Amino acid sequence: MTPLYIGTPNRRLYACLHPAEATGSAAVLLCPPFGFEMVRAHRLLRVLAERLARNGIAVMRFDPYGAGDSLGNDEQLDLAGWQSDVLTAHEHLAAWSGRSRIVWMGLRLGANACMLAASAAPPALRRLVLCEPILDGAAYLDELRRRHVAMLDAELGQMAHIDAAGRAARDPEAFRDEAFGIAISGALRRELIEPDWRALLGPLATQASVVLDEAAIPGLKGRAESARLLAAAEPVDWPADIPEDGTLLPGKLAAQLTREITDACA
Amino acid sequence: MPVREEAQVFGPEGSHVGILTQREGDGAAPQVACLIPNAGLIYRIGPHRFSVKLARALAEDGIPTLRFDLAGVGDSKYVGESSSARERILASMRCAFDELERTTGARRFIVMGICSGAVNAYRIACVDERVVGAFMYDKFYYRSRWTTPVYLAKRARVVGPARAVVAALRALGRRLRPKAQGEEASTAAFANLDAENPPKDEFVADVNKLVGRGVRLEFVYGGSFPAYYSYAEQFRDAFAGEPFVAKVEYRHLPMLDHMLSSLAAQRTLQSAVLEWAAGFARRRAAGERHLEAP
Repeated sequence: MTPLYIGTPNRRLYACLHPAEATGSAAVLLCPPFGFEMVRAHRLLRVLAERLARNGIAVMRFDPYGAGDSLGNDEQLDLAGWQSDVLTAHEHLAAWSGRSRIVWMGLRLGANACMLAASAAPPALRRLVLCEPILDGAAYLDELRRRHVAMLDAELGQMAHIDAAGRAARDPEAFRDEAFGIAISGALRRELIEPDWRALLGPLATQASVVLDEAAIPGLKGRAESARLLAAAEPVDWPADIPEDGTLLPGKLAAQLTREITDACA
Repeated sequence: MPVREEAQVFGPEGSHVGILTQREGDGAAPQVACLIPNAGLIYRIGPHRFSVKLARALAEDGIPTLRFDLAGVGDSKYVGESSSARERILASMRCAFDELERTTGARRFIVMGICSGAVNAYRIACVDERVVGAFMYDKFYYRSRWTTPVYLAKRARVVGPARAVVAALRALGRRLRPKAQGEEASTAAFANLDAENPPKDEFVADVNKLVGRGVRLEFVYGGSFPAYYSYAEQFRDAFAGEPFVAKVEYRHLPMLDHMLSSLAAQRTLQSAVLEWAAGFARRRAAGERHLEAP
């Protein structure tokens, strides 16, 4: 495993290379979720990288600009930039690995960034594996806001009248520009809300496997012709903190994604 | 002045991963460098990316900072013979200091820790004389006789006296009830962090030694655990009569939650750390003036 920075001096991105442990022609780019969800997802992405490398696949993890270990402040993260970062990471992965078949695996909002970047049809991109993409941006932002407000009241309302929930109810604009200590720019909010993400799954330029909560699958039937829809092997509450039992790895999901990505590389 | 971030792989068999943040163009060895270990099981970016933001701010102030993963957390791995959790953590911290010395030339270190990171900051300070300061957030809860009455009084103002008393009785019941088997197992993942508060006698002896060695300590308490830390001067009252009390800094910042889950909370704690760390820069400036004097 080799951690390093890639990209241009003005847009340096953290990346981590996992060399393949056997010969082959496939490589995988792992794209993380948004902000605070990165903590929950970190172990999953590391374990996936290690398992895929053992399966003879070269792997690169990376963080988009404004998130994780990459340069940039939270508020500089937006989907337009993230999309270009996926392409930068793709180029680096292709050059480093020398491999001719590349698969992208995007998790949560990282999957949305992969969907957008795939429209550029970079050379050697063979398939997408999208794990629990955000299909309703407005609902996602509302859910983050609801949880953020509830957390403030629960954590700090024990000894003082906080009433974050009341403030949120009275002022629709309150608590919109951050969630759990991560700033959310106006650009990112617009980019999340405006597209019909379900419709975007239909005309994907690259074949995709989409791993989703089982309940979301019926709503996509007939709308995602180029995508293979799969029920997630287990539910994961991504926006939550690390569970109290300290379980960092959703084991069934990790096994499912390892299989899907390995098959996609074949 | 802009800062630069570099990925570092270090320790036995390259088992540890961290990010070194330092000011561009700083050639001379700094007076101190800062280490930020993990907060619990959260990897090196810290709770809600706080460690990234703090490392950049410290570096801008001229303090190179390494935020890194302890062995077994984030991207760092266990290697070598098995040992106790505490020995592994201390070994990780020592090799991080070695890496900071190799990359920056610093020979004295300060450590900033949150939750289990605070315990690790304290423990490494006790055994490694290169440590000259430790900033510790949300650990080391020692009650005074006023802790519970103040808690109940403040709680009653929010929920009313009856509900405050009922809640207190329930909390007492939970403390006295024997733990079920499943509950003990559920904390197994955290047991590897070895992050329990030290016994009070041990803490007193250690802190007196650290203060005697000139190590600057700051203890900061947030507002997430009011039953454990309920008022500003609890630290003073809990250790009344101990010589170290006048020589350490302690603060109660009740509007900060444990995980620093708002930007305002992050800014407040960052300011507190920078203010504390500036003391080391001032010492450097004073030392330089002293050296230049005839």
